[in-house]
Amino acid sequence: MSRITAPDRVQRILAVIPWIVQNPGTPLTEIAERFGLRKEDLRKDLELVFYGVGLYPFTPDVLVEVSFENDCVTVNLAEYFHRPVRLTHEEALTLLAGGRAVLGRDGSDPEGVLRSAVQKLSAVLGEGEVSAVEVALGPADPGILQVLQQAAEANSVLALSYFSYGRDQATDREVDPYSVLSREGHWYLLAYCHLMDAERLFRVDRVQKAQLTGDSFEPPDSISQVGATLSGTSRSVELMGPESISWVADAYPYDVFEQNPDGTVRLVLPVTATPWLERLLLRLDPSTVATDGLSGESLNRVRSAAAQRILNRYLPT
Amino acid sequence: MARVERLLNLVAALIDTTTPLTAEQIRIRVPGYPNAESGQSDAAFHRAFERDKESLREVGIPIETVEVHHFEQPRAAYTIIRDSYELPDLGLELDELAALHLAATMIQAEGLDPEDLEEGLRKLGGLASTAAASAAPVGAVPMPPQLLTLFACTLERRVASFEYEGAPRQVQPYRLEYRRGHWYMTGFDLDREAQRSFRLDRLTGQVDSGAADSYAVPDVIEGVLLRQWEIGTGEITLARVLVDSEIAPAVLAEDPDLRVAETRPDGSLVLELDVRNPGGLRSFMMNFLDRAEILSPEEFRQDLVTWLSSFVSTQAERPA
Repeated sequence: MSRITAPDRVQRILAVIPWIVQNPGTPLTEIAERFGLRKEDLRKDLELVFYGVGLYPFTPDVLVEVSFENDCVTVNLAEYFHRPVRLTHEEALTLLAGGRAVLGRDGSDPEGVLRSAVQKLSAVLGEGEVSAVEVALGPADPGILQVLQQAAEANSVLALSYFSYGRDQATDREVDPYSVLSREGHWYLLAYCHLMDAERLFRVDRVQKAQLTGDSFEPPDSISQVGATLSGTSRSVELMGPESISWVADAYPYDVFEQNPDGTVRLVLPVTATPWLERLLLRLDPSTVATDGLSGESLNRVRSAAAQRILNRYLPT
Repeated sequence: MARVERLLNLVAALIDTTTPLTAEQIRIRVPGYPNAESGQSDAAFHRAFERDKESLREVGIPIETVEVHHFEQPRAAYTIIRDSYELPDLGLELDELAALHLAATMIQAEGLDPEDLEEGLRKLGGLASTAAASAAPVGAVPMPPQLLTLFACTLERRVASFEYEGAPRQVQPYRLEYRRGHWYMTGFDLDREAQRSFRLDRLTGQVDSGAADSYAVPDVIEGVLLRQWEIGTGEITLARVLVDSEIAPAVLAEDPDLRVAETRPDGSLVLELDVRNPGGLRSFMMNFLDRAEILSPEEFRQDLVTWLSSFVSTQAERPA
């Protein structure tokens, strides 16, 4: 028997017994497989129930009767164990959230099988008309997401047209797709980028086109997910401004966040690319002072140049 | 081994009994407890019984404690009520069970024990999907303890009390949503007498839950608003925004429900936005730098020009 605590084993037995009661004569091997248990463990569980469980005063009519015939199991007289225990909140949440997350993606359930399963679960949990839990793994074009997932599974090289938000430009590149994953509410493609000659994470909602090149690649033995970054970061920016700029610390990773007694705020955070920095600076109170984290040089000129570029659209000369 | 049997017999006895059983009655009916005949003390029995009760409750077995009065003094007695114990039959077909298994496996529920998933599936009839066994999770979703408490509140219609941004709140939770990497709870705020959304990572301390079935959930509720220009209580002003072709696909991929009023021959889009918060619109526009433009109304255009000019004039006052 593997190292399992007594309460956990009780929980497992109480989940399996009702099914065996309702499906008499099922081969032991089939039951073990169905419930993800080792056959020896299951047999020990059943023997324990057979020899040791019943009701006071333990006359034969109140004992559980287990018979193994040609390795097929039948359980009788377990009236008090006829139904499994209700789902715990942990169990219900993980099942419901998983179902809703997958259903939230268009085209993920073509036959409607998952939808009806989740509806049945929802009814038993007493969820009502309004769903109590919704999970969005991230915005993405379902067609593109599917191409990326299939290419990653088949080790097929992809030609991507990718809009780099940080750099504010679209580029074409070839990548070896390793995996597609959702983190913090966004879908990412982890891939080896031929253009950058390095592993990179690509936001799936910024992939504008994805096509198989017809080539395949040899997947590496290990993938250094940690090494892959959204884009190389070496710069940082220091911001000093009124309390109203504190939201930045909520929205982006930062290195330093300090609030002074007078309420003003000092923040140091990594900069991915100049357009990213421009977008940030133009959203902060104009009294904010921004300087380059390394050189200490004022970034006012970067900010005013960006503001002027946008103004040109509104104030044609 | 002996403890497993004792626990199972305790569950059977508490389900089967028609009247709640006192600890002393349980000691007689359930074999395996320290008993007087073998010289074991009452204290040893009570310790063992308390531990069993706690262990069973931890794995989700609803042992009720009631007070009985047919002795000289009122005493605590215990029972398991069938309706709260038994999971009704969901009527899941095998392919439905498999689909649910596969779906739940795709999510990595951070903060929950992976055993919770398997245990839940066993109760529903088994781990039916062979595909799920080899599937790697594709999405990580954090599941902090506060989420579990609020989930229970939402399902059981219990008022949740907690501290949010330094102030105590009492809320009737309607829905939990995981979006853009954060959990939000939307519900009716009893103090502010209005529907509000709360970001779970801004809740401090623990969540206390009130009595079950204490409110009704409306048939239709608006979820959490993440569009910054829609957040607010002001009147709605319709704004038209031009988005250049280079960024149009990315803008729509990020928020596919945006209203597109016009697609121009060059691939640029005109979006219609319901603006309650002009500051939020300005912030949204900054995402696109000079690749987007507010077309109308004129006051929003002017507001943006004034905002941007403040950066340019700052520069002018301080010669380089």
